[in-house]
Amino acid sequence: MTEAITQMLLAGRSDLLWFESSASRLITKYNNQFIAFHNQEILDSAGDLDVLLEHLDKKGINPSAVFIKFVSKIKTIL
Amino acid sequence: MNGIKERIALQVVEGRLVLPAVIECSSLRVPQTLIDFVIDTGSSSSYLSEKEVKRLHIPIKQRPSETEVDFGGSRFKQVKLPPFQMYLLREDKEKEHFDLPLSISALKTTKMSSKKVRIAEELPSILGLDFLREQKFSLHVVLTENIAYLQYEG
Repeated sequence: MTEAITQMLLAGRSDLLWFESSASRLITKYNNQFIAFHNQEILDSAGDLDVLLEHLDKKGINPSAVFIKFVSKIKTIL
Repeated sequence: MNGIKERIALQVVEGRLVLPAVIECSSLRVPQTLIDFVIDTGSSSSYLSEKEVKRLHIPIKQRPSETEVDFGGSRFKQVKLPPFQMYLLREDKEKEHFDLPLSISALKTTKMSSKKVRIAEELPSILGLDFLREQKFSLHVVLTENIAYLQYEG
């Protein structure tokens, strides 16, 4: 259990590094879409979050183990 | 948390300070879930985003909302959640993690139109000043040297 959590955290850190380094390419390709990614790979994408979650479910992908992000050329100010 | 002055590395993603974490909540049946929190010192409170509420299937309709908050240009109902457990990677021993309790609210948009719901879903989950205060973390950032971390001060 402990090892599994550590592995999730290490994978998460690696995936965020990958996302940041790939951001411009991803924004160009998936502009205004939600993307799910894991192990430096895009698992699926959709313009609607519910649709993306449905796609992941159909593929048997556990949404708890992946990152889901919205990518857009337009930046949001928090 | 063992030891003193432990550090947790932050990452800069899309120009924001991001903390990768694993969270879980047995009472909400939320399994161990990978999540990226934005550290937002402009916020007094911490929130799980609409996107994460949906992803984790957190039932918030039956829960009373405390108040309304404006966030990212949208208005949300703030719904208090039971305590979560949070797991973070230690910076000094990268093969180890530690856990801590996480007090957090959920955000539920007050808007009904699909366009505004979608805008709400685009926003990230955030950890505000309450998180830093409760967990006794100091925040250290030197962007010109690519340094960003939390340090335990308890």
